This record gives sequence, structure tokens and C-alpha cells, in this order.
Amino acid sequence: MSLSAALNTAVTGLATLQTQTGILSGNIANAQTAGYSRKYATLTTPVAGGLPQASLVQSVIRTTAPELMKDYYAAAANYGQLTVAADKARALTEALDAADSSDGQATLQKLLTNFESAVKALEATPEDTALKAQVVQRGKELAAEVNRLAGLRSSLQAQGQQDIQTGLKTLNDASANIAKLNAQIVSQKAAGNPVGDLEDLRDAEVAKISGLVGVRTVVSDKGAMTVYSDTGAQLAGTTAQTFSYDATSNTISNGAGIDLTAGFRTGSLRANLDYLDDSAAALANPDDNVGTLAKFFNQIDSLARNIADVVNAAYDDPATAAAEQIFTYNAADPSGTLAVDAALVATPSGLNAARMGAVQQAMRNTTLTATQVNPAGDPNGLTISSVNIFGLTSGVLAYHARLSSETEANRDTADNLQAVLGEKIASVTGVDVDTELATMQTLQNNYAALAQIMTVITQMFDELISIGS
Amino acid sequence: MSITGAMYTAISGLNGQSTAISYISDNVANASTIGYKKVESRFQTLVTQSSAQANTHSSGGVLNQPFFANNAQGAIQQVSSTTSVAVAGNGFIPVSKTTGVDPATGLPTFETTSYFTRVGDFNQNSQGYLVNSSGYYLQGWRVDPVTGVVDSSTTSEVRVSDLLDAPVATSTVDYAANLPSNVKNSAGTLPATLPVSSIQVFDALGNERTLNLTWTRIGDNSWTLQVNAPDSTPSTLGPATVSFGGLVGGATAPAGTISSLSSVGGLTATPAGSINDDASFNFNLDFGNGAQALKLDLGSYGNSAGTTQYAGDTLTLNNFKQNGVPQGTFKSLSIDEQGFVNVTFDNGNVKTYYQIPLARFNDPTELDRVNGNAFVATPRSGAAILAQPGASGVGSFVSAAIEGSNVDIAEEFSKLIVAQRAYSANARLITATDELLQETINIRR
Repeated sequence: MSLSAALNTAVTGLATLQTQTGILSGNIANAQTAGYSRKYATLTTPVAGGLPQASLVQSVIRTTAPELMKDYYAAAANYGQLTVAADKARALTEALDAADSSDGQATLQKLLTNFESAVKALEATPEDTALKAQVVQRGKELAAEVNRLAGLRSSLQAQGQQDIQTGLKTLNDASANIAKLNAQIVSQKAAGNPVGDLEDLRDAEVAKISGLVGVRTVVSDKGAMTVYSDTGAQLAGTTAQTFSYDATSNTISNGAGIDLTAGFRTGSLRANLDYLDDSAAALANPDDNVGTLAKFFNQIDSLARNIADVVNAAYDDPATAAAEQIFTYNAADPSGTLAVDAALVATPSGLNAARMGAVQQAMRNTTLTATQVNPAGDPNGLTISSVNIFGLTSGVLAYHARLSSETEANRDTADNLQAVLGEKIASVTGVDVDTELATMQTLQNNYAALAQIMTVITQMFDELISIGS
Repeated sequence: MSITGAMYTAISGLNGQSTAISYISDNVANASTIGYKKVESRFQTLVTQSSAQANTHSSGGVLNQPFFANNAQGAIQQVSSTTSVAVAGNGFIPVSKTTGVDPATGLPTFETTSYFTRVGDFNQNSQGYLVNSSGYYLQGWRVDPVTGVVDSSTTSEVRVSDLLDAPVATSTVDYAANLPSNVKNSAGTLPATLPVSSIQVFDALGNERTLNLTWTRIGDNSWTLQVNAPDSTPSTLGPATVSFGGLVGGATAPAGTISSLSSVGGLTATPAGSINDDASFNFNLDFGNGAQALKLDLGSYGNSAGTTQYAGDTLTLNNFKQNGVPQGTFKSLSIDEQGFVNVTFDNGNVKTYYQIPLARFNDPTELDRVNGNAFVATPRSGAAILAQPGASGVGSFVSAAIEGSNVDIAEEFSKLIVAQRAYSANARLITATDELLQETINIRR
């Protein structure tokens, strides 16, 4: 063991410490970076025939928490699903104006009450033609509001479909990025280069997907990651996967044309698919978040039909053979589901003021059966019965107000869970500045000690050279 | 015994010490030369006439013979180059010396003499040869990159020019999942088909092809599996029946574990002889390059490690891997501790093309030195015995390292002082002898 060998060992030791310091500074610089995982060096001391050697950096590894990640992906999918469900429920509630608390009454209730008041006023002063015109006018206003709600179908549907398209675009982009990162990781890993940062990037892409659909990841020996949905449908891998949405059948297919809708069991895509699902099975599903949109329009339809039925039944003069009516109901036309009878609109004075008392009585006293509220042919999820049409209206409003607040409460719980898991992962894989600084102290001490050894070796050399002189 | 004799003895002392100093200066000059082995002075007496019985002794002299410390280990220094190796132990690296260029091929021609060195700072030159800083070409045993068999009958110059790795067609697909035992279709009845699980496999040309697995629950503990590869002819295989928790070779498999597989429609199941037998489907696909045999490994009969059927409504995928790789391009070259010359490709494959043997000599101190820190075998050193690194006392390689000179400056300096003093003493003796001669001459005037 010569002095120069000792010097060489010290120099190599310094280089290793410098590399470790570099990793450390990267960690501290990224302490606040979301998705950054702490990197650390594994050291190895080469065996060289019993000669002392300095340790070398064998590889740079990142800290991971695979089991926590699994939980996190599930929580993220749940949160994504409930967020969409809550947003959709809120949108429907707002469309209904159910949440309007300025005068304690939603628009629909107000208009129904206005109509009733006009009927009452006409009953009190049957000869007043101005009041007759007012009844017709109030009837038209009520019908217009019902029709406005029924007319939202295409725009709400388009919105939901647009959400799915946007989600799939994100999914396709992430899938393409994951495929690219997989190729880079396999190649870099083969060359023995550290791939922690690339893996961080890939995890970030998986995290992007995780809100859209629940994911599971499988990593091969060579480092390539395949991403599956929690029901086994492939989302990403070594080649980019593309998914497309068919609005007519409300299905998602992969590039090979295989229907994978069932593979999207959780996440925001599932929430949108459920929201748009208008199949018989969805309408029959007791879960209010499945077939929400179709149920909503069936509720509006039920409302229009029952208003027309109750008012017309009472208005029809039993003394005459003809079937007189104030409202017309047309299930087929969303923009004209409910309308005031055309003859009355043309000549409001033709309104039979003598029947107003009966109409007003019917509006208050006619109770609706469960089948009338929620007909078997067009299920709408409502479970109320023995209510008058005011009760039906407030029942629809309450249904959406409840759904909205329930899903929002669930969403907030899911949000908490996701946040807790996110923090847990960050605390396991993230950078703890205290620990890093403690490590830095150790590195600094070792560095100073090695540098001191080098100084001593240099002095020894000086001594040696001055022996002869 | 004469004064002149004393003079000559002193002169031989001067010669011996000056030679010692020349060795020291050679050693110090090469203190930083990679793989340099120091030369030491071995003094021995030259006797003219000496007899204890006759009580006579005439001054003789001293002879300085060089001793080549070829077997003393040098300090190992770590470097970043992955093609550099140091030898820890007594072995030498076999190398060749080029004589010129073959005009026909443009490749170098080599001397028939074998050279050996400890200079391991090899680099790949433009023709793919590994050459050290002294210009010697590394020799190695050829290794079959596919089988890994080492051909140790002959050595050749290491040349790695293959820059493309052939693709490996997928032969095994490992699949492990829990099939949900409670799943029903949307109408609440059976059969219930699960969403398709896909994986990319590689064909013989390295194309990525999709393989789809479709599970359908057809009854309690009974499923069908259909394998579909859209690009293959035939594209659809099966469906084969997979049963859980039944009888395997007379014993009942634990509930939820595979108990039987049927061989249907191109899928051939491994026989269920007894519990823990391999449960796989073998099948052939043809992506246009002939039949490609694949094995879908579902686990083992009666064993929960692998595919199972326990409670649940959805499939839980635990493992889905395949062993094929696409073609790869050259990424890096390295020599490992065992002397294997490995080429890494960007598809993750590592291929071994050569193994560098280590040469052992019966007496390495008797090797002849040639320029560039190389040695040649001599009759007294014995012929080189090539051995695998790590075997029979040749030592082993340290990768990404070089062996420094085995010169210890402190030792050389102390020898220098001794030699210097000894030289002065010899010179003083000459002066003294000269004075004595002078005295003798002056006796008679």
C-alpha cells in the first residue's frame, strides 16, 4: 500500500461524496415539487484483491410506496367519479332553480302558485275578462318553464358527451406519453443510468389517468409499465392505446374496436357514462347517479303530464259532452311538452270561469298515486306518492337538492381521503428537508475528514522528498 | 589480496549502486504509468577465492541483478470507462500487437506472438476492436450470444461490431388475476363476460401485437377463457373451460384455485396430474412469419399463487407480463468482473460476445518486458495458462478500474538514500585505495 494508492482511494471517496451531495441538492431543490420522489445512492465497494478501495455509487434509486400508490389511485378514481356526479347533480339543481332561496321558492313552484292565484282570482270575479287573460298568461308561463327544462336535454347531453371526449383525450395523451417514457426507461435502465426522474414523470402521467378511471400498474423486469383499469382493461403500455367514444351507444372502445365500457368501472369517465346512460337498466337502477339525466327528463315529463291531467280533469265541465281542457300535454315534443290549449290562447275570454273553483280544489286536493308519479314505462326514480301537484313539484326539487348535497358530501369525504393518501405518499416518497440536512452534515464531515487525509498524505510526500536533501 | 583487487571490488560496488539508482529512477519515472511493474535490485556477491578451511579470502565484488516484481499488485484506481478493467490477482490480460493493415479488408493484421499486459484501459476503436492506451488489442474467448456457451479452445481479438439486437418473439405470457366469483351480467344472470384484458406481445419480427383475454363466468366455479389476437391467423382460440376448486389427481384443490383446464379450439392445457402442477395453456399464433408457440401461464393447479377465483364483482389483475422484446440498437459496452464483454441494447437486452481469460505463469517474474508495459512468455516463465477469471489463482477483474503502477515512492526514496550512501562509501574506498597505492609508490624514492 503506497502513499499514492492511499491518495487515490481518498480522491475516489471524495468523488463519491460529491455525487451523493449532488443527489442531495437535487432532493432539496425539489422538496416542494409535486410528484418528486426522494433519490438516494446505493454504494458498493469493489473487491480488489484485499486492497482497500473507496466506495462507489452503484445506482441512484428513488423511494417508492407501491401499496400506498394503489390505494391512492383507487381514492383518486372515487374522487373523480364523485366530483363529476356532484357537478352534474349541481347543474341539474341549478337548472331547476331548486337551490334558489331568495324567496324560499323555486321558479317552478312560484309559477305554479301564480297560476293557482290567477285561478282563485277569476273564481272570485268570474266576469272579469282581464283575469281570464291572466289565467291563460300564467298557464303559458308555467308551460314555458316546464318546456325550458324539457328542452335542456340536448345541451346537457352534449355537455356530458363533451366531458367524456375530453377525458378520453387526456387518457389517450397520457397513454402515448407512458409508451414513450417506457421506451426511454427500458433503454436507460439497460445502459445502467438512473431512471428515477423518468419514473417520476411516468407516475405523473398515471396520476393524470387515475382520476378518469381506477388504475392498476404492472411493471416488467425490463422496467416497462403496463397500466390496466381496475377491471383489467389495458389503458397504456409499450404502445400507445387510443380510446374513442360512441355517443349513440354511450360506449368506449379501444383502437381495435373492442367495447371496453365495462372496463371503466370507476372514475370520472364512469360518472359521465352513468349520467348519460338512458338504458332501461339504468333507469331501473336504484342508484340516483346512474341514468341521472334520463331520470331528470322523465321527472319533468311526469310533472307536465300530471299538471295537465289534474287541471284538465277538473276543468272539464261534466255538463257538456266535450272534453274541455286548459293544458295540452305532448310527450313526444320536448319544447312543447306542456302548452295552454290553442283555442284559449287565441281567445282567453273563452275560459270557463265557472270551473275555476273545481280547478283550484283539484290542484290542492287531487293526490297522485305512486304509479302516476313514477310510471312503469318511464321510471324516474321518484319514490313519493299521495301528494298533490305542488307536492310533486317540491318532490322533484327535493330529489335533486338531496342528490346534489349527498354527492357533494360524499365527494368531500373522497377528497379528504385522496388528500390524506397523497400526503402519506409524499411523506414516504417525498423529500424530508430535515433528514436531508442531517445527511448533508454527515457528508460534509466525511468530506472534511477525507480532505484532511489528503492533506496529511501531501505532507508525508513533502517529508519524503526532503529526506535526501 | 592486492590493493588493486580492493580497487576493483570498490568499482564493482560503484557499478552495482549506480545500476540500483538507474532502477530507482526508472521506477520513479513510471510511478504514474498504468500497469507498470517495478524493477528491484538484487545484490549478490562475486567471489574470486574464499575458503574457510584454508583461511583465505580474496575480495571479489558485487553483482546487481534486476528482479522484476511482475507479481506485485498495483493500486487499483476507479475510472468511469466501463470498458476499463484492472486485474486483482496474479493473472495477465492476453493482448495482440498489430503488424499492419490488410489491404483487402482494411482490418488490422496481428503478430502471432502472444503478449500479456496489466494495462486494462481499453477503448473501442472505430473498427469495433478494444485497444488499450499502449496500442495492444484485447484478446478473448468467443461466447455464443444466444446460448452463452464460452468457446475456450482459442482466443481471438475482441471485436464488437454488432449494433443491432434481433427481436425475441414472445414465448411466455404470465397471467395472475382474481376472477370475481360473484359477477353477474347486467340482467343479473349468467353467463357474465368480463372486460377484455390485453397485453402487447412481440412476433418474430419484433412487431408489437395485441393479445386479448376474455373471461366469461358460466357457472359456479366455472369459467371460459377465450384468447384473441386480431393480427394472427387464426385470430380466436378457445373458449376453453377453466374450473376452480374441483378434483386434481384425486385430491380436492382448495376452493378458488384452478382445478382443471380444457383443451379446446387451439388451446392445449397442461395436464392436471397433481396439486402444484403447472397450469398453462399452450397455443400457436401466426402473425405472417410462421407459427409462433406461446404459453399462457395461469399459475399452478390447486395453488393460490396465480389465477384464482375468490369473492368480488370485478376482476383484480395482479400480474400480466410477457418475455418478448423488440429489436434493439447498440447502447453501451462493458466488461464485468468475470471478464464477460457485454453489449447493452436499448430494448433492455444484454448480450455477451466474449469472455476475457486471464493468463497465469509459473514464474511471472521471469517474463520479458516489451514496450508499452507488455510482457512475453520466456522458457523460464513457463507458457501462459489461460483460465477463467476467478479460477485457479489468476485473480479476477475489477470493472471500471485501472491498475496503477506498483511503485511505492517512499520505498524508492529510502532505497535511493541507501544506494547514494553506499555509492559514496564505495567512492571513498576508491579514494582510500588510491591513497594506499600512492603510499606504496612513495615507499621507495
